[in-house]
Amino acid sequence: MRTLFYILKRSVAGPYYRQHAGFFLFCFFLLFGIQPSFKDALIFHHSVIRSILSSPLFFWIAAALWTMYAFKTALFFYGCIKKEAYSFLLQLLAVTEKKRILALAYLQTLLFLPVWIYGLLVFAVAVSEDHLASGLYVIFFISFLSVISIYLFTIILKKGKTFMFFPSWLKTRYPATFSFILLRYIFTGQFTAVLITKLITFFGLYNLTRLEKNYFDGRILWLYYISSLAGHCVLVYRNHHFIEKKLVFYRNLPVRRIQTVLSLFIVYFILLLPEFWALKGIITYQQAIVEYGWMLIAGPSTLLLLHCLLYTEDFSMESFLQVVFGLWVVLIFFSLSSLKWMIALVCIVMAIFIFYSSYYRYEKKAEIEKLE
Amino acid sequence: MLSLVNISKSYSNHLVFTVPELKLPKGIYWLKGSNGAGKSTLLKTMAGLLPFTGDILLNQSISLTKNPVSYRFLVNHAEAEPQYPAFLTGEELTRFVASIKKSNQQQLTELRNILGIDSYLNNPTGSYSSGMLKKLSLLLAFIGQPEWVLLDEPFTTLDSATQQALCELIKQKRKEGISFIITSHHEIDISVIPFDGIFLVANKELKQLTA
Repeated sequence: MRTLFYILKRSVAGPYYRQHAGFFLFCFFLLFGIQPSFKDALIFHHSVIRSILSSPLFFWIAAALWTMYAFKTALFFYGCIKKEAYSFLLQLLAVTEKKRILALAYLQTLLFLPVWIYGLLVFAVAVSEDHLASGLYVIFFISFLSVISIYLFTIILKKGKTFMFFPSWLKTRYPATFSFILLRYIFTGQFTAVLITKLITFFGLYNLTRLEKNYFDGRILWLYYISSLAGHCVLVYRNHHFIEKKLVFYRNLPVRRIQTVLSLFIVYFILLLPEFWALKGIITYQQAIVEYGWMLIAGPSTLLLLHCLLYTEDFSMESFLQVVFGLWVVLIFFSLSSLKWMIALVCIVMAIFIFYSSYYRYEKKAEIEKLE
Repeated sequence: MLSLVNISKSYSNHLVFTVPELKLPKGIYWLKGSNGAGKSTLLKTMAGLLPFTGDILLNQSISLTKNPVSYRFLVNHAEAEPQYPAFLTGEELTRFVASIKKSNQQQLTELRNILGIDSYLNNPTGSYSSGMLKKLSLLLAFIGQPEWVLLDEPFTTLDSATQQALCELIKQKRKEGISFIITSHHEIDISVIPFDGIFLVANKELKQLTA
């Protein structure tokens, strides 16, 4: 049994925490990093725990978050079962049912550890503050989630690859378009990068637009906006790489270049929606509706231009960053002058021109290197 | 007819192949050659996946360089080692290509049944084996109303039942007027596929072995 526990710990629980290190770090930052001091963080958590114990609404919010986490662990286990490299896990079907359930309970407890730790903390506070009944509710709910998860793990193990989380009629039928495929890649394959980029750009723009009129400076806002757009260059680079590596067959499809350019523009427009939301302040606080309109077009046009520039040569990330820096300087120059409205037009015209002249001529250097 | 006019393909300064002139009437053609001879590069070039110098004409009028969309509508291609986004299902990819190539549901159902890929089409391609990926790429290559289908090493990684089904499909589609260029470094039984010509890619040139 100990060998079984050891294998599950090393092969499933270990990789789970390694793969989700960024997620846990982000949660830790949200829970403990944004308070000014450790003492403030403790006070904050104490009040959160007291809210969970005293308010049914807070309890159900916490319960919903724990349920989502339980679902995440089950999804990870399912992901492991689907992989060829994890086929050894199917050996669990060969042991007795009691041993199998014990092993899966052990694995589930390991994956569910963060919830158990927080739940026990809530229970400890409940005992110390005479909320024993509420504390027991919390422990009961987490135990209930654990039992359901263990049951789900056993079903996943038995059904293997054929297991379906959702019945087929409930499955989302995603639109099969170029834009949508790219958006799915951005929001799944680049989730962490998107989240970090958006957090930085959103809060900066949000605060700058809401400054009092006396302190507001449109040039600083443009400077921050253009820098935010330049900050998207890694996402743009990865998008281009994804298209040219995983969607190679797209080059054989009868699609007009203008259609591809338009699809890319839509993708970058959607990607910049949080920034557009943050920039709304310049309408409500600064009454600069025309400027907002130009910013709305300048954003996706700039990202589109960055994307199209990648078709002029097979850039490495380093050399692309140099190009981005050059463009950033030019756009900053524009934004400081009265010609900032030109940014949108120049970028979009240049992007279309570059895409038209370079798309069919583009070739990945990797293939050249392979031959030499 | 597919005509190659003064084609040459280089990677940097490295010449891969040159074809001064080649006219291929409708039919099934086998492109032979050892590993690294340039068969896949030639096929990718003809499919419009790689830049090149010269021109490729379809029916003497549709140029790959001047009419890239019309050309691509009539020339389909299946890669030797297909790669797809792991999060997309085969069904989503099929729907994506079918919408662009203007295919219909009847054609898709027919191809799925022949190639036997119905059972896993709703799974993400990340869970596919190399053989399953190959079948999916072949399905995508037959979608639409192509006049030419370029198949790069189509039999590699396929099980024998699917190899047989593919041969039958090629013969059936040939009767419907579709032409094929097939690359393979393995021997293909010419009694199974009635080739109209066999070519050899060697020493950066394309030589006709049989007419």
